[in-house]
Amino acid sequence: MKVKEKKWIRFRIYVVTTFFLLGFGVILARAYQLQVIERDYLRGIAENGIIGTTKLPPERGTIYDREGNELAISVQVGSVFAHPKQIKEKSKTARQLSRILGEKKTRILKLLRRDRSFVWIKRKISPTLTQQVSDLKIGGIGVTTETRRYYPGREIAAHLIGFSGADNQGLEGLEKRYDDSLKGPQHRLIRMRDALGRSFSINRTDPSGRGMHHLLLTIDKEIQYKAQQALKIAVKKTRARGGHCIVVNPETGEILAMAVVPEFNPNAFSKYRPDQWRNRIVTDCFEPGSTLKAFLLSAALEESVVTPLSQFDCEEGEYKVGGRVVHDTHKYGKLSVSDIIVHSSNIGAIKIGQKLGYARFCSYLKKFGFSSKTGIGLLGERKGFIRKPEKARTIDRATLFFGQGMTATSLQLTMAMAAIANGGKLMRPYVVKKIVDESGGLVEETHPKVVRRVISTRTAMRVAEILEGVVGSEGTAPKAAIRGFRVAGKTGTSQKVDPKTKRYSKSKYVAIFVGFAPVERPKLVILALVDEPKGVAYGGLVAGPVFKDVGSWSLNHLKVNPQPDLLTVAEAKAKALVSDTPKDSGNSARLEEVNKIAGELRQGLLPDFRGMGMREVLKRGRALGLKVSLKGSGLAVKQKPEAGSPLNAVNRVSVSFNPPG
Amino acid sequence: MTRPEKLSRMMVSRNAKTGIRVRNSRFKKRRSRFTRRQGLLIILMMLFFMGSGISYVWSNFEKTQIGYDLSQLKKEEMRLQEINRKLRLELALLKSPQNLQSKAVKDLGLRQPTPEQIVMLP
Repeated sequence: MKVKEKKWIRFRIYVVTTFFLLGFGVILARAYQLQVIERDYLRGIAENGIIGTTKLPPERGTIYDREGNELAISVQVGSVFAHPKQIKEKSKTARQLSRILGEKKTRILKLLRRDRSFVWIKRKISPTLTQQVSDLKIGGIGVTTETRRYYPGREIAAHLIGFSGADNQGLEGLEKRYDDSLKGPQHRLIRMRDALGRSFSINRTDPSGRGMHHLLLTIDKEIQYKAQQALKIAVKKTRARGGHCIVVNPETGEILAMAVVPEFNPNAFSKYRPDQWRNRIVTDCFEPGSTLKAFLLSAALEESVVTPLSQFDCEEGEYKVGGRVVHDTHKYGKLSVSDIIVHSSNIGAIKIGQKLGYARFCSYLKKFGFSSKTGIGLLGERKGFIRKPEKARTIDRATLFFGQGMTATSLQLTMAMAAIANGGKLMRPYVVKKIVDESGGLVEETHPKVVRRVISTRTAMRVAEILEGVVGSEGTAPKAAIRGFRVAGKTGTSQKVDPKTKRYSKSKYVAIFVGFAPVERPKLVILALVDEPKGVAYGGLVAGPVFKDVGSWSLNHLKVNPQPDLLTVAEAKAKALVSDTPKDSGNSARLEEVNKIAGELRQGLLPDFRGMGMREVLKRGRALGLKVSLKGSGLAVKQKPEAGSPLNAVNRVSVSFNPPG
Repeated sequence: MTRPEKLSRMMVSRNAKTGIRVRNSRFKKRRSRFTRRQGLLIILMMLFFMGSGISYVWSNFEKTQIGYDLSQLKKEEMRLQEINRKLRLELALLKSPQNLQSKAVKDLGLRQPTPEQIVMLP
């Protein structure tokens, strides 16, 4: 019994041991099979689980204008490619593809027959077409997603924004300058399939540690469009070579518009010549001509070498200096400093300048920002040139005072005028207001920056008042005047240097007008430049109207209230009275109204607004040059001050309205 | 005599006094039983472990499911974002000043207002 029991126990131990050993052996064998014998085969299966890794098309940040309108945006498009060596039935494939892609079969066939391992069949087409191609399931033909940059505004601000190339790299303008910020990180999508055949994907971002950013510009799309339109019309009308127009907010230095003509469409940039892509506002220098007299005046007044009333002899249009004779367009005798500026007398300018001194004037020009970069941060910006006092001959010393013998960019000239508009403070211009990340968080913001004070506020105001005369009926640019606003500015017509003869050309001019409005609190500084206009080339006649068009439209767009001068209104009404003889009955009501207003004006008494609608009250109030504040709605019931108060003592009237009935 | 032998002899031998055969093995067995309280505790613990095991498996399963849903939703999000971008582009094209001007001037016959026609609300 005892022995039997022992044997039984031993037997059981053997059974269990064998069982475990066998089990362990099986596991080992299986592990060996999986890990060693079938290793490659299984790896193949596992990799089949990954359907594919796709490099997602690199994203690119959007460029917005100041109102958040898209100026440049990237969207996904499809592209079709082929591995020609893997395609068996080339002719059939080409036929199928040509049917979907709308390309010639012969062209596709030619591509497929090339001795290359990879060719693009068609790039950047609609994703629905690529879907159709991938549905064909032809071996050797593949589709991929890429991004394409679109510029929905077409030519709008094209020279400033630039463009990016087929491989998502900025090539010109802001696209190039801010390429690092706009470029998004590279995403890789690993698509996999699990045991149950469900697909899922893992998004991997290449570790570059950089996010995609969007740019918010200071450009106002509408003003930019208007500037381009007005400039285009002027350039076409004068058969000029081109033109520039800049609109700047003088208080901040924000560029609201930067137009260059001839334009180009960045959506199809390759159709244009590279020199048409250039942002000539910063890359091209020219002689500023008479516009420089505005800065001569500023310097002379600031240094107190003259007063606006100081008299100078303008030598009847001919003045000998440094062995040369300087001419004026019109002959003048004695002129005051303000008249010299208003009539743009070169001889007068030389005389003011001689009193100020060449070196002192040069230092002022430098303070106004000439001959140094503005700091706008655009590619290819040039400095311009001013001749050093020690290198200047007598004639150079004289001609600089009316803007010859130095060069500047349009932007420098605009910013210098903006300094006068801004009470003597030179601002740093900028075009990128903000850089934000993908979720809208602020990355970088540009704030207005004062570069330096150039002249005192008092001098700036005196200069502005004198420059106001330029757009008056006596001045050189009456065509630049904007109705309802006080405008100041300066014209310039400069001769271009002929590259062949190296002398001033007699037929090639640059016509400039640079000015600001409204004078009492400048909101806009606008420069209009027309390059090589044919026929009449005077700045006031050629560039003045561009200034006027852009200015009046922009001031309206920015909701700046026009302030019609009381006198001019009265004049207009009086004229209307005389000319509006009652020809027909339809006119009589209008005549009556005009009569009434003219009567009120003559009496100089505040009219009775009671019973009028809001529109009518505002219109009449404005015609009288009053500030009107409104309360309630409906028809006017009460006004303060009362009707019949003397007009010259009133500048604000508040009117209460009540609904009728 | 070894100890186990002695013990086994004792177990099979009758009591010297009473002559009753003692079956110690039965008593031993009885002694090894759990009390009711212990039994309850063991059941509770088993339930607890089973429960936590099941919930672990369940949460893992849920996690996978959510993972799948998430990857689907991510894909959907990317698709919708792309559509959104395309629509924004289309809107920008339609809102471009060139387009608006031609619509306003040609289709609607509008024109720029003169300064007198503009009434600014205070």
